[in-house]
Amino acid sequence: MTDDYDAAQELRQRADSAAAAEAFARGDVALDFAAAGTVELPPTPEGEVMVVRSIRLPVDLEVRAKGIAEARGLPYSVLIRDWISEGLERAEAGEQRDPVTELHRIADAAGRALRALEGRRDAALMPPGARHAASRP
Amino acid sequence: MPYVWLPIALAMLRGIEPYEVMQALNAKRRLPVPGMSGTVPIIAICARTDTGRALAVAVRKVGGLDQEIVGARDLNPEERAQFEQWEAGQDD
Repeated sequence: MTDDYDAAQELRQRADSAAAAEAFARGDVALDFAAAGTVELPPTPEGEVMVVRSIRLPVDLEVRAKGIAEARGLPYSVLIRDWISEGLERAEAGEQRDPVTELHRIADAAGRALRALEGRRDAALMPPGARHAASRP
Repeated sequence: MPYVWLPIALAMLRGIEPYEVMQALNAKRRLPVPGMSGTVPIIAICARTDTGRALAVAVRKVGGLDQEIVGARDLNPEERAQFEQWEAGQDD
């Protein structure tokens, strides 16, 4: 209940900010210099300044991307940023994807994943004593 | 403190580069001036860029954590005069 209230409150605040930005852009802004210095000075920025952007995704994409973020132990927004960054690097480098090279890359990744899974399965099937012996040098 | 740009504010920025806004936000001398942007209360951080350009950067605190940048513009002559008066009274 409190979370819902906080989320609704934040949405309202962000809507107000959008209205403030529109007013600012059209010059509808009044500064009260007589009261200058009577309000708390916001601290200087920490780290990189971000842009908050909402995007519409099909549910399927959203669920799959969140699954990958969880599997990698990354915050969702970090994963999305990484993907955008990678996409930008490729686009800015003017990379033309060769389908054969791309298939090789996918096949290599699939091969690595398969070997890792087989290794895990074999280890799980091995009797405990044999597992111990197999782990000895 | 995290600062975030509203996409609309970034898109509507005219004649000022985002890096200049950052310079102003990081300036040593910053004067907070309350104001209204439309019907929404804002705080304008008045400060100079590294090249001495006097800007007003309007921000709002949202969600208890982020400072949202809602716009930035040059100080008008009257505002600049008041800002310079304040600057003159500052010790370095």
